[in-house]
Amino acid sequence: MSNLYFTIAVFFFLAALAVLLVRHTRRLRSARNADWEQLLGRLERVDRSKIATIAQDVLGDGAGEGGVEPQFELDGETISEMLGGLEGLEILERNCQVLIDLAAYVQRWYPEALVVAEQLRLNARELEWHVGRLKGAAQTGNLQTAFGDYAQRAVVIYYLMTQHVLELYTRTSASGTAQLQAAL
Amino acid sequence: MHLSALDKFLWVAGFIATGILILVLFYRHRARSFPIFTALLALSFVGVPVLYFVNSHWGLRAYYKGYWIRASLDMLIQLGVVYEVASHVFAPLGKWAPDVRHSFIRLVGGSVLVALVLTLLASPARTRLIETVIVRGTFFSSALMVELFVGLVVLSAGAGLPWKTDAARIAQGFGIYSLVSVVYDTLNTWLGWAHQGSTIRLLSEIRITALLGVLAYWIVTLWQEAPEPREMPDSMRIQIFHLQRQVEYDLGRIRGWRKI
Repeated sequence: MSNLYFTIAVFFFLAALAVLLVRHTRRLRSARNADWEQLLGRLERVDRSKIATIAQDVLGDGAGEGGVEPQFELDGETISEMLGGLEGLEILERNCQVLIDLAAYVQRWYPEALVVAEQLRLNARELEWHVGRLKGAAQTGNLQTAFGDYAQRAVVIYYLMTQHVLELYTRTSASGTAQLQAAL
Repeated sequence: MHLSALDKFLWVAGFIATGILILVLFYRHRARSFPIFTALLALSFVGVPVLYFVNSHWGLRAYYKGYWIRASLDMLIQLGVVYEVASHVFAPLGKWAPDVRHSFIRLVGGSVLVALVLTLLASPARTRLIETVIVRGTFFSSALMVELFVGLVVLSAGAGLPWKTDAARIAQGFGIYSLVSVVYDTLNTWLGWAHQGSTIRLLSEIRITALLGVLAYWIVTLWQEAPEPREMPDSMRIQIFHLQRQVEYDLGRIRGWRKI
């Protein structure tokens, strides 16, 4: 009788492992084998001008003298409206995965690009952390108060990641830079 | 212990395949990247003839002692292989990525716990204590290995860390063999030597055949050369280095805002 329980337990154990393996292998495989068109196709549409506005509110436009200085004017409600709430941030989170895969794509020809890809991956993890905090706040009914704190930082990370991925493609003279610029 | 012609064939085939794989690892310079994996194969390569010799000259009791020493070493080195594969995935720049270190420790702890609970649930249908211990021990080892390899895939996918081809091949082979071993060890708990000795032998032969398949898979895939990367000009290398610094600096800047 004891072995019957043991066998049932092993069955569920292996079934759980199989489900985990299939789900996560799919993600790894799609990142490793995706071609250029597939990668770009995974990028979800976002309003670039709004992303830039939110990011430049704390970054300025980086043009130095005569350029736009950091304003720190946007509050949580405005940012939420501009982004489309938590759903908008979740799109940025998913796009971050694509940005990492785009950086890894360059690595296929230039393994040295790994240093940038790894740093971008850490940035994406940071964005995930901010979005995770907001999801937690949404469950406790504190989304509005937390939005200003975390969302703007998440947007800044995303904005800078797009700039850095573009720069990586430009520096390595990778094909498709113009296409990427249009997609981002 | 009487060995059938098929047993002898499987033993010799496993010995030869392991030898070929070791040669492949050295010839393709992969032994340097995977020294623990190479050591595991070397132990297996040396262990097979030594155990055969012990069994032929000193009998079953000495064979069991030798078996246990080898199995214990094998288990420890297998854990080393998990760490080696994990290092290739989670330490892409030579040191462990900060966001996965704790998750990996939790993965190892959780896997040991689950494997232990499952092992304690088993009641092998054996009359001798040594046989019970062997069945439980091999089940624990197989369950732990299959958990760890699936765990590595889950962790790396969650963290967005890609697998290098060689590490992926080694992990795939281990994962498949460990899975077959878990099924074998589970069925084995139901069976007793007195009445089902032939079934146990058949299952054992199926497991060794699976191992031969994995060895063949490793020989073929680890022999293949990875595509030659393009040579990166020095100017580009410097620009990439600066870009990496810039990305790192930006992240620090954003983290700094949190403190305000």
